[in-house]
Amino acid sequence: MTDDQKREARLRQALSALVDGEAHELEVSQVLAKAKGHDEVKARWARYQLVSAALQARGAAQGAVTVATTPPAGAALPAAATPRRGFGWGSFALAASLTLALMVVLRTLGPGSEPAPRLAALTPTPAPSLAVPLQPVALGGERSSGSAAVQITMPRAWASSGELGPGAARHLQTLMRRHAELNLLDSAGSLVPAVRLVAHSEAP
Amino acid sequence: MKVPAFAFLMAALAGPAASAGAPGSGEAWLEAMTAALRAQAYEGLLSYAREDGVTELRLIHGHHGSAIYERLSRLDGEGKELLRRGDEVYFLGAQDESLSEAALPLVRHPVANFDAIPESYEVRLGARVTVGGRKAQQVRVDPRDSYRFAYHLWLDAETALPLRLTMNHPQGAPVEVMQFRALAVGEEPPEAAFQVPDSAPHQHPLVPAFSPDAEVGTPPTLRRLPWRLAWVPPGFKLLAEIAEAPAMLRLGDGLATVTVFIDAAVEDAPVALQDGPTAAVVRHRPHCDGAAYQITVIGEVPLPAAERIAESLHCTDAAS
Repeated sequence: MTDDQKREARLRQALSALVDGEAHELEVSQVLAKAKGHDEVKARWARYQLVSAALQARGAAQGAVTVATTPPAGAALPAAATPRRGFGWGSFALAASLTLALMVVLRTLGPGSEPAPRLAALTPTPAPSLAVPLQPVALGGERSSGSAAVQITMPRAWASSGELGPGAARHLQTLMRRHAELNLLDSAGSLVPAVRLVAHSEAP
Repeated sequence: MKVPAFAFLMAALAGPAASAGAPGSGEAWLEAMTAALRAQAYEGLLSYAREDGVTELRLIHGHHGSAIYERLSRLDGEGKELLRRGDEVYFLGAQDESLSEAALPLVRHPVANFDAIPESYEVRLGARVTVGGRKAQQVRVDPRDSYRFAYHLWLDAETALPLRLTMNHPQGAPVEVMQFRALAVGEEPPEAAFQVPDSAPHQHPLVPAFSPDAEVGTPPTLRRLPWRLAWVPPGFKLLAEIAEAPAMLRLGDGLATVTVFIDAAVEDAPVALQDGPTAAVVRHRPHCDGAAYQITVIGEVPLPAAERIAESLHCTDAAS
């Protein structure tokens, strides 16, 4: 196993631990050290830290319990679970943030020794013509495609076979949003389609 | 492990579908989750992650009488919101045009319907773990073939609400993660949380449109469009057929959906791509008169399944 393969294996292991909710901050730091010199990763990580810090500050102001539930009527309420108006953000936020941040780090690093170059996030650019269809990049399991597969140049994680110009990309995004809207309306209130639709980014 | 009594009670009150799973089974957990998502009042922060990044959202879920009120807001700058007030749905902050009302069907077979898992999937109980300091029961909904993704859910042991949900590639790698980062349960949000802005531009009334009978065979027969599908993934049914331009077909297996757009204007080159959980395939297919049509298949399925659906579309004479 080469050094790169060993490093990637360690990254995957750390990610897997985080996805399972078992990791701690040290593991994250180790992975982030691999992003040295990669400005976008560092900037993204800084944003997450700010969000986490803000949430933690808010949680500290409102109490440490993050999930507050109202038990059946008549039941005795433990002090920590007393229902209250508004949110009680706390330490729960940090672990999740770290998990998600790390996913981005791993995705960006790719299999090579240097991070893959990425274009400006909001600039639609034709994707490279690739010889083989690409599979989703592994985020905790085995990477399922070759090393060339992770050269992503679209604002979203486009992995493609065939040419996709800016006009076609916009048209496709419109249809993808329509699909997401239909899913929402057909979902009878399910949370998943709603989250996908609201999280969907429009191409400029 | 037993399903939490409170959640199971809600599942029992939810209707006939709630009796499908044996007590303590994965199915019972999913039924309890579905009931909890509807019946509970909750507010939460959640993160939605794909391979290209993370979106932060805020969710407020409550009730007005028997109607569900819900507000889902992006927190990261795009200002998008989804506001649901019973049968009224507002999509706030979208930058481009809205769909015409006629193009918005409400099918009888809802998608992402976890309280009625189709046979194409296998439900298994996973480990009991801790998520964000809460005891959670993992439930795995794994596909029986490679034409669809898996869903792994971590349900709060006390309320059955989903603390984390991932969609996974058939080989096991997550392609999408949805996780609550904070969650407060039990108190109805104030009605002001669901106030409609004065200039709400995108109201989508939930009006049922044409949807075919559920059991129409595999592959399904189209009744409105002069096309036929030679293949769909096992378990996928025709949910809706929309004849307006561009014509649309809606296919689904109960959890995953695919939309097939059929457009007489051929504008884009063929392409096949996977954007997180969403596959998109553009193909050019000739109709019987020789005219080329642009076929675009979009759905939360692995790319090979979307490609095969696109390739399976053939013309039929309108008179036949």
